[in-house]
Amino acid sequence: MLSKLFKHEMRACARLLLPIFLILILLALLDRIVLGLDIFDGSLKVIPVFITVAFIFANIAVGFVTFILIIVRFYKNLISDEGYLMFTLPVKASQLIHSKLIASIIWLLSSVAVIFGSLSFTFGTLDGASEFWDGVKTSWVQFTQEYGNDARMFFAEIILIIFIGIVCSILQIYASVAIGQLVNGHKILGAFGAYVALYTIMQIACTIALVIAGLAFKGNYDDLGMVTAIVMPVTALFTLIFTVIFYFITVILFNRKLNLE
Amino acid sequence: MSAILECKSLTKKFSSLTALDNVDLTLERGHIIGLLGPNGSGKTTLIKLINGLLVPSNGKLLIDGKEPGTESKKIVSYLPEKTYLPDWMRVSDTIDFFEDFYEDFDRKKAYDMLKRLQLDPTKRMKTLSKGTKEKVQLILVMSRDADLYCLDEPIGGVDPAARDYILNTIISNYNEKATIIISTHLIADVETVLDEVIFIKNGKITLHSSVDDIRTKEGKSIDTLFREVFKC
Repeated sequence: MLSKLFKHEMRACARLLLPIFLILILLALLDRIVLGLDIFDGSLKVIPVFITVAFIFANIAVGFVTFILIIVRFYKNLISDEGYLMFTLPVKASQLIHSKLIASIIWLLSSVAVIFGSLSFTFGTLDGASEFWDGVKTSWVQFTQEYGNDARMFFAEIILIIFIGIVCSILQIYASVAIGQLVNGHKILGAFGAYVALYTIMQIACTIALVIAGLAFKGNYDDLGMVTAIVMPVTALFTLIFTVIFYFITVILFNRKLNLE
Repeated sequence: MSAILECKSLTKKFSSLTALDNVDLTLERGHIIGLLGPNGSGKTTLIKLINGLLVPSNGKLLIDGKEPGTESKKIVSYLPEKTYLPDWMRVSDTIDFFEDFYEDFDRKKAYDMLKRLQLDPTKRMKTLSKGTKEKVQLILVMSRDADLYCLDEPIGGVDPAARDYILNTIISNYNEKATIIISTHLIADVETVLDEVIFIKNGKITLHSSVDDIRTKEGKSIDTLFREVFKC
């Protein structure tokens, strides 16, 4: 059943996101062609600048729309009238959440890939781009020479934290929606309130943990070592703990306190 | 054969309001039952509890001996009073969707009914009128071979001509081991198809009887009796 739910979820999102991705790719192509043309003189030079600015905004918009779609899908499909259909299917509430979570992660990563791809396609071969990449490479070499394994650890941990962070943010929204639906007549407002409350609790807990961890190990590490050995693992662990908490809030509320109007 | 639905001291409270108050109810298989009561009497609450869309505050509810959950949802076919199909779907998509999730769904039956009601399967839900959407939903729900059908206001939004067809569809599309609960205000319209009636008022069941018994004992139609009992 999970695979069927997942299939329908992917399809429902693809309907909106694929055309948007396609438009971005077309804009990338257009911008690259325009940037490659050497025909704009005088005041016409504003044209490639204008198209490039529009293209960059389109990239930001794609990321934004993907994120909004994830929220709207979850709310509309489960808490609005469509919830009557979804929650009477012979599936578990947890399966509904899993299908949406997996689809959301895939669509978020795809939108990042499309944005990164379109940007590097458009600007990647321009003069100056290679200098930029050389600069990045040199800094990386210097960084690894100076800090050795700590530097590699640092990047591995960053990637891990970003991934857990994505899952955590999605589940934080799910949990907020699940809490918000308990408020009769003000489900959206309730979800916003719940989000702010969850965010505040999470920030306070994480700050306290970092301070405690920092004090406990003070002076035992040089700077980056301290970051890779304490700050980042603690952040990752905390994000993971909150991810699990948000997950269970959502599942338990949907199982025991579902309140469709 | 075991009862299809059993409620024991079933209670549902919404903060200060008691929507269902200590309801004891047993429904046998093979009946068409009218769940009748004024607005806010608890009809929809009961149906939502059966379908697991609400959780009881107290008491128990068993469908074919099982608490509401994945197993009960396989044998209950539910028509809510809401239009619950995603509006971007085509009618044919909704049929695929039901076929995907319900093993007892009969695709051919659904297409036959669409044809009979002259509904175009390629149309998108958002282009249909409210009454037409309700017809599509009813077709989906009645194309399942379920043990318990819960129809919440199934004919409220459709024209009288389609009402007759829909009621015929309901009667002719269920097997003898299935039970149908129809919640409605339009008693005169459904009266002829009902075997039993349940009167519900302020969350309590005030009458549960067979239609024949009422006609013999009271000497009046269900519609007349309802108007008397629930007189404002």
